[in-house]
Amino acid sequence: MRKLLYITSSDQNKEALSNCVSNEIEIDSLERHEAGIVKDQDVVLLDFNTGSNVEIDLLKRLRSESAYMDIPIVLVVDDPDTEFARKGLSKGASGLLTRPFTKDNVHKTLDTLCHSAENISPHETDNIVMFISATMHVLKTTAGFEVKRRRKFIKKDYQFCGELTASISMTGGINGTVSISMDELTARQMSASIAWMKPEELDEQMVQEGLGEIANQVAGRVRTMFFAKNLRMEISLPKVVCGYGQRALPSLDEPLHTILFEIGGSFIALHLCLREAAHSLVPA
Amino acid sequence: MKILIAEDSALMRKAIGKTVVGAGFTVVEAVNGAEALARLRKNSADIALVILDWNMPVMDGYEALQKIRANSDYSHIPVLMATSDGAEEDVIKAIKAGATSYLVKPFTLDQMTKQITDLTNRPIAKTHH
Repeated sequence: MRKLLYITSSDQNKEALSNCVSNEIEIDSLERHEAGIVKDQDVVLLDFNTGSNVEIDLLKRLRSESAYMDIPIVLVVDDPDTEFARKGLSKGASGLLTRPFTKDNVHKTLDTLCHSAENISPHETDNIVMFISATMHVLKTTAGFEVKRRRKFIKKDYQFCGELTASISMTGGINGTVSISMDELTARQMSASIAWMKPEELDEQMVQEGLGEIANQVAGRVRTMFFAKNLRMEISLPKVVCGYGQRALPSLDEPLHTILFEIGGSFIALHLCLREAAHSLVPA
Repeated sequence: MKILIAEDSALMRKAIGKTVVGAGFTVVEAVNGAEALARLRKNSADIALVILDWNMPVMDGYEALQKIRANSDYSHIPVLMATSDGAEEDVIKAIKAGATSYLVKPFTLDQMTKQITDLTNRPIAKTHH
């Protein structure tokens, strides 16, 4: 049975949700001021009404606690197309659920976000591990960012988690895209660190170049690992997109694996849309 | 003496440039291989080292390297390939084309400084950071 924890101060919302879930889902709830209490949950829903600092702080606090850091946290919003809803995604939320609740949107959201490791083939996991390792190494070496690994989940809505996203296409042993996504402030601090500059000295283009460089180095490092295994992979130049809510192109009809890394309360998302090519075992 | 940096990212030119200045050299910048060749044609006499990125638009670092080695006016200048392409095949290809050394991104400040020092055969004037 899947266990769902709903953090809300509204009895009406609790009842509305209860009416929309099947018997296979057990609902527990907490008031906001109780949110630090550890429950045995598979997914957390969090009322996110205005995107205020209080709500953002609560989200960040949940993500920083060991009991919550590795499970999906879904923001319950009235309108998913608001700046604050999209901003919530860059602060560690896994996805959005729109009120009013319906059986359809509740189950669709849970099915989208609660896929677990059994859906990932062992070979995919090997590849994903290479990208995670490369990302952590590049962030540390190039930008001095010692990030902490957080949750991995699958996003079927293909929406990037951050305000700025750099993507690189790959062909060969792996076909697909690797994308690195983060909020503008984190990207600015990272880019400034790369060039030993102050964050305020960078213009927008330099911030984007810093993110593109990180994505390029991550893809390049994985490519090097591939060649070491006698597999060939070619990568494109990085492409940077700006603004919350941008989406990856699901051209491969493969899920978007999302791995979160945390640094100082901010989140960096690694998005992978991968398909192993049929000819990948042909030596390089 | 000067070091020519060919790199399409302004941010990375800044980053490498600070290391170059820290090692006691003046920076000459180019945004791609073609511009790097133009800089060399204009004045190569005081260029002590060329640092080339591999993946650049217009003309990539590999093509620029081949053209540098084919021109007797500046074929003697050491060339450092600094790139995220670290596969053994890439390194061999670059060395065969005449690269003096190869540095894979991500690199640390110390690694780049050591490369500059070794390739220009002079001690480090100062360090920063």
